[in-house]
Amino acid sequence: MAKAKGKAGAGLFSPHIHSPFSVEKVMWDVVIALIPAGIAGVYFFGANALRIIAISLVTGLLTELVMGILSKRGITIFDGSVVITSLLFAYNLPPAAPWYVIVFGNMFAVAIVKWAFGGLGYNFMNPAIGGRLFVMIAWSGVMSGRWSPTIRSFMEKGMDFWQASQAIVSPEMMTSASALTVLKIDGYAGLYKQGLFDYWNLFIGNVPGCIGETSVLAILIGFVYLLVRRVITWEVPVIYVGTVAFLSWIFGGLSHGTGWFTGDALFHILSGGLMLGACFMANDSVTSPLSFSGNVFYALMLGFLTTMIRLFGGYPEGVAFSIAVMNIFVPLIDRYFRPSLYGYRRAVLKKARES
Amino acid sequence: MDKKQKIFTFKRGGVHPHENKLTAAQPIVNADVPPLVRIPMAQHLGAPAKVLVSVGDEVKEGQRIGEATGMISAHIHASVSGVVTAIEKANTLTAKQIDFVVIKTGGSFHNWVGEKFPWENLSSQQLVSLVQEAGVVGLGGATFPTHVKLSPPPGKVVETLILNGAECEPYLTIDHRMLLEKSQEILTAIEIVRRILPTIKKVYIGIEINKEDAIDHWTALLAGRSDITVAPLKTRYPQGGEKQLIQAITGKEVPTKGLPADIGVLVENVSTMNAIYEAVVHHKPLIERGLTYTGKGVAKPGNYKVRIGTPISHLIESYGKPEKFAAMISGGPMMGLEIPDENIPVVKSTSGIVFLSPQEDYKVEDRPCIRCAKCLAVCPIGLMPTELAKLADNFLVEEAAGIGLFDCIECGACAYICPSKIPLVGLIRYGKEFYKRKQAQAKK
Ligand code: SF4
Ligand code: SF4
Repeated sequence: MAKAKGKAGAGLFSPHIHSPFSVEKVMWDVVIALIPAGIAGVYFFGANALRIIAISLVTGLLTELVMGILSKRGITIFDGSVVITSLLFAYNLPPAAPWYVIVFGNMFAVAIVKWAFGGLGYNFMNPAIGGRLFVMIAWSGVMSGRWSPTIRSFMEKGMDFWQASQAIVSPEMMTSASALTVLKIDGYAGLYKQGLFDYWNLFIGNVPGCIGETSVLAILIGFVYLLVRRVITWEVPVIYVGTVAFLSWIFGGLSHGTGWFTGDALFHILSGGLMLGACFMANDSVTSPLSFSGNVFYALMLGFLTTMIRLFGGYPEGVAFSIAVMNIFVPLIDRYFRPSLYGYRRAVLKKARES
Repeated sequence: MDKKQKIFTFKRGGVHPHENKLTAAQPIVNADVPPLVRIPMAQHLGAPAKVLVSVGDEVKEGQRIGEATGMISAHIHASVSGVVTAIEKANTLTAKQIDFVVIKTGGSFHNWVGEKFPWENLSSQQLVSLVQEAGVVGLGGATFPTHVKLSPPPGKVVETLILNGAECEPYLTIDHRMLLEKSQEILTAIEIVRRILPTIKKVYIGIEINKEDAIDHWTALLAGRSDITVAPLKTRYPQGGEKQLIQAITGKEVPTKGLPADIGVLVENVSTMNAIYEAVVHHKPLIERGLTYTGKGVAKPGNYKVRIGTPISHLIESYGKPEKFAAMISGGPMMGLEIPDENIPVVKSTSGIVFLSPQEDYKVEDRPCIRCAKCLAVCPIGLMPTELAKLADNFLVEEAAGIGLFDCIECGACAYICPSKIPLVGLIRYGKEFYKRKQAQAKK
């Protein structure tokens, strides 16, 4: 920006006062809102979760520092946005993720997805989503075949926190698949057999999965905080999750032979990365539409895509992919979904012409 | 205020800045007459007036010294008696290289209110010309010549009169005081306007509920009358914007590019109503106006009646200014203009002088838009301010005009809320000017 701005912002222009709202406040509020999910990650996945978060943060901050200086925007690490990206990226990794996946994945997220067009505000895709897709493609084995049970299940068998933390990343332990994978392969019967089909455990996050996405409870705490602080609005998360619930109720039973309207909506919205994606990534302000109607459309489409991929696609999970696709359509959505303007209602204009 | 009273508000957007109505309890007092006044010939929307006097002339208080030129223009009068010492070109806040008549104060004062002229039997035409004679313009800030507003084009029937007492700008309290102190005058002015426009069926007085005493005062005053109603308004900026006020009270929208008269509505500011009263009943031209002189750290903040042409420096001498301040604003902080020079005089549009402290002052930052959509949420028109600003910044003004650039009322709600502190209104205004210049060039 700033071609015309030099003249326009000369200071003589109204308004002369400004609300206390600022980019920093918005961003750090999101960081605060992400803390519960991180705590839940450490609680269920032990020291590994902490290791992933730490490595991701250090990588992100260094990358942001370098990119900010290289692109002459100065030191941008204090605006908090890179902390959000690093946390979200870490939350999207399985507990056994090796260090190079974390480092290169987050470097990709920050340096390429966020900074290719100029950093915060100019990214066309949510950086953490971009990073997740990148590691899913580059190290697909790591990302799909290594789900570990939570350390809670080991601690119940008498291990302490550290032993259990070690246990869940040892190769022989990594047998358990995530709930959605099991559903995909074995149907609901498989879920019952594996003992994964427990709404309470899905809700608190005591199930295999990525470190920050399993605990719906922790994510909702952060979500409500952001709503109360008026940092986000309700429409994208609520409509997205609602659409997934509705569509998976209609179609969810088809692939298991139970017919229409037999899908388990509650299971679908509690499992996988849906909650984290809906509450923290799909509604990222930079990469979601501007207008209310645009956001409604965007969220409906997200719900549709996610459910279709989950139920009929080749992957058990479709959140990241759906968000990436819809992010790309945002400029188009902005063009066609605008708020209605004052004084343009047809009746208003007609009356004016008549008189 | 009666709890059961319905509270009106506009339908969409709006912000609620700190009210800072420091001077709400201060009655209006007369300011000292300055030793010298500087009266610009452009104090209204439309063509500047033509100077009628020359250097050395002796002028009387209330004498016409500038004549309206063209359809939309207003007369200008000497605000003091004295001698014209200079006619010079200078800048006002809104126009460059305008004729200023400088008068050295001397001689006697006229007692305007001592004499009352009967008006009840005058025709609509005669009443309008009294208003025109007096050079009355909209005192809320828009300064549209009032006599033009009171003569709607043929075919347009005004049925609703709305008095604007919203005063939604922070700091300003002059309309609040007017409502309390000049209610009889305003009531008479309502009768005058109804005589001019006999089609008016319903009169509303819109007052924001942060002025509870004014609402109570008027409710009591109008007890038992059904033709004039007090409309309490939610305290929400820009409640006093003409389009927003009309929507709040009548539910109707002014069509784009249209006028309130298109939907049968006339809006007048309460201070303007008082000026209409003075023009018709006392034959007093608009030579002084009430304004709020305020700000944190001002020695004597208050509501003052000030002669048009009084240099700001004179007010500063009388009432002080804060030791440290970031900006001196003419009007309110949301829509007012910064005063770059203390020699600039008070004019017909000066509803207040506000000193903003360095903490309050809004600093533009070169930050990217984070697309938070807050600006969309607060825009009372339904525009996408971030898009408009981006287009204007890249000189894509035709595209901006296509998505409502000229519907922006420049209320500033968007720039106020923006977390990236982008000068959205500045850019939008720049876009408008650029577009007009481009159109003018294309015509040549
Ligand atoms: S309020 Fe500012 S940062 Fe937010 S969308 Fe509007 S212009 Fe962008
Ligand atoms: S775009 Fe114009 S009308 Fe809308 S909030 Fe900004 S200044 Fe007000």
